[in-house]
Amino acid sequence: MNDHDREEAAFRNAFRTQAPQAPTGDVVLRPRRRWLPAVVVAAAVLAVVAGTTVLLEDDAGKSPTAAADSPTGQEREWRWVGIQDVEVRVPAGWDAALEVTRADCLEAGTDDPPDLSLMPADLRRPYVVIGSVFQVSTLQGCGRRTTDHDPDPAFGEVPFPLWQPYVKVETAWKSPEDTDEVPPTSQDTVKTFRGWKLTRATEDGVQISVLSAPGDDDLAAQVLASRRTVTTTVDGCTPTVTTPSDKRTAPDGAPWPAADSIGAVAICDYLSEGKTGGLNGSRLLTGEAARELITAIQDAPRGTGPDHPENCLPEYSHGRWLVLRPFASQDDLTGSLGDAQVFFDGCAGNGIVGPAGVRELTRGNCQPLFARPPVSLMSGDGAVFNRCFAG
Amino acid sequence: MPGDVVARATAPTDFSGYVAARARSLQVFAYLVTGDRSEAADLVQDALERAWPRWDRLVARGDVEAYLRRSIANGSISRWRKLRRVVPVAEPVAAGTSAAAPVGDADAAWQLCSTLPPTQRAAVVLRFYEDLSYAEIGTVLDCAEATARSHVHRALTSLRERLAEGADDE
Repeated sequence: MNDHDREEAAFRNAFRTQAPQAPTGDVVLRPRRRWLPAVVVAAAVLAVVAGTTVLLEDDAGKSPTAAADSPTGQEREWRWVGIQDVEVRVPAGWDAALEVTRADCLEAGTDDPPDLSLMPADLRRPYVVIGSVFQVSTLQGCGRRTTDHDPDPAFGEVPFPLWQPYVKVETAWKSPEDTDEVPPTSQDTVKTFRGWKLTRATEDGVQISVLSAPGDDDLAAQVLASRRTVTTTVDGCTPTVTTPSDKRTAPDGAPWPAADSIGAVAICDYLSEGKTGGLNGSRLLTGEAARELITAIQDAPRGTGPDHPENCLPEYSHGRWLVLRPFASQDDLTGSLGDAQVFFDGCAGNGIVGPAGVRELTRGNCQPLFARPPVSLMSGDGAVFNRCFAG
Repeated sequence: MPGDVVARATAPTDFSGYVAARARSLQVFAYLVTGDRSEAADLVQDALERAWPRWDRLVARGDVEAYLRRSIANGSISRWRKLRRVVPVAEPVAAGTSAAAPVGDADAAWQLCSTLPPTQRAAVVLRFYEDLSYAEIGTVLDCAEATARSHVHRALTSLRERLAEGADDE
């Protein structure tokens, strides 16, 4: 017998007696990959072994249903996104989305699992937010905050069960003149909550935010390390442009070639910063979509519109506009065939001005421009919305 | 438990098969480490969710069991630290001061577990329920073998003192 035989026996007996008290309920796992192995089906699989049931769900529960594409850097594919003159790499499978920010409909005090169907489809999987300002209230029915939801305010207002990994590229917060206070959701930080990791870093006026799911701790470092400065973006846009005047006159220069000569059209979204506009997001149309856009512009009625000058305030000026850059090939985005400017957020002077002259906004030439984030239409004149909002 | 050693050695290497075969064992370990059923369930779920993206590498290294147990143990430590900051912990009733009937050795050991630092508690569970060697305990708890031995020894000493106090009161 050793010196602690009695104590050892006491521990052994205690554990043997207590072991049956352990939970025997379901072990609920949420798949973290967008695809599932062949042995697992997307709905539910039951494997009953000695009273333990294993459920594999891809829907609501008390933890997020994050579906990372692939958490290892070597296996992951990447793509470039950015604003202004800053680009970073993000997981290729993460699409651009508009983020929910409205908090007044998030109710506290219930343990009911939130209804994931209330979340926009874009936000039920990992996503990328590019550019600032255009955050929307899409939680119309709203998720509910669970009583064990207590992450740091830096994580924002979305309930924990609804979290998805994301990368955001935004302009840094600018405090109002009477305060230097930066909201928790805009402060640079590194924070963790139940294995999730939030990293936010600002450099030269552009903030990169990364929320990574458990097991994907290296993502933030990989994204931030990829940061680069560019003079022409991956979509063929320039980081800054001169703010256009209010006059709508066709520029001198050659008209566009025939539409079948067009291989790609860059859609570059600018926000006014005074005399210049900063790139706030972009998208590239290619192939048939690009050719159809050029054709739709060339076929649109001449002149500006839709306009309601009777609604104009004297001091109004456009704060946002697009620049379209057609290219002969999507493989060479260095030689624009003639830029066009798209005005849409005003009471008057709306339309497309470029090598095709001055043309009205139509469904055919406007909806494709705002069809998907990061170039989206959030507000504006009703007539413009009728022609430009894709749904 | 000898049977569990065999089960660990022959556990399936595919994720779903492994979970079906070993989830119960993980739940027991988590419960013995925490003493709380719901916390145990949470820890097991968290550990499996963390293991899933690394599964192929863990299987290749033969590291699955150690990784999951370490994950559960670390989770219990994190929660213990958080609760210590947030929730006033009632002082445990000292052995021999209660007017209740004397408890047996096993009951005394289980009561003592609730007062042990979580790493010590995990070490004794790994030693006296999972039957791991001190080297294996060190692997799970990510500490030196000597440290693992020290954790167990301190817990045994604490229990000896508790049992001695109980005997003095009889």
